[in-house]
Amino acid sequence: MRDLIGGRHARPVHLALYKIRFYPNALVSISHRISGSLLAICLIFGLMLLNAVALGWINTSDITQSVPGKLLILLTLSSLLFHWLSGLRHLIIDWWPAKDHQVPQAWFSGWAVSLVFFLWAVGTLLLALALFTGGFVGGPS
Amino acid sequence: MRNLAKIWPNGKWSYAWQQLSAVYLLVFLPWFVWTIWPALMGLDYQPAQPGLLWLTSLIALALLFIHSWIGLRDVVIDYCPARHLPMAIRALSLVFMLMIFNITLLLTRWLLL
Repeated sequence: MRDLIGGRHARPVHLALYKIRFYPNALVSISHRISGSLLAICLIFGLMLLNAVALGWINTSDITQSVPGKLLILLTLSSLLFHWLSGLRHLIIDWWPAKDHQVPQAWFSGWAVSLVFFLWAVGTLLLALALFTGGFVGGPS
Repeated sequence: MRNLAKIWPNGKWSYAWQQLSAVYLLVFLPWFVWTIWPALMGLDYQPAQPGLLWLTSLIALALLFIHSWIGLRDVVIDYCPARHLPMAIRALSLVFMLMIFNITLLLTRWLLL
């Protein structure tokens, strides 16, 4: 039987991402999951830093004015921006008033996908500029 | 427990909570950034309606945890090998419980000081 491996059923089949060729929608979908997972990791790190600040081990400026701290902030905000943009597209597709159960194909097209990635790239660039040339909490470094 | 299962079984209720939290956070985040923008720019800032900011932020925090719990659980279920799945879900639950406990502790401490 095709589904049997070594006498056992080879199910459930888990998704091996490196074996899949992604079309644009799938690329946004998996990137949404990756950015969500990154956000969760950043949340844990952020919480650890918040504890360190609350216990007086470090100051807020140690985070906002150091390169590793700025990189963590950039990773968090960039992931959040991508998750927000791709989530907006998902919600538009899910919540669009259904006319004969059809959502305008534009939201599934490569253009919509490209728009998400373009806005994310521009937003991340602006965030990086603001963080590393001054702007967030405490003014220029 | 039966009542709890009615509002939080798998499947469509998870999807509904995921959608609800997503819509709230989608609207809340730009509004929050807009509201605290002066503080982000390093200016002296007092919120016009601190009560509203607190309430909406606490709701956002709760929905953030619900959203991330459902999302991460789905990711783990989809990609974790079946033999490790129960352990992975238990570990994820433990991490979430610790995080919620920690945030509650930090908020309480901050409010009392």
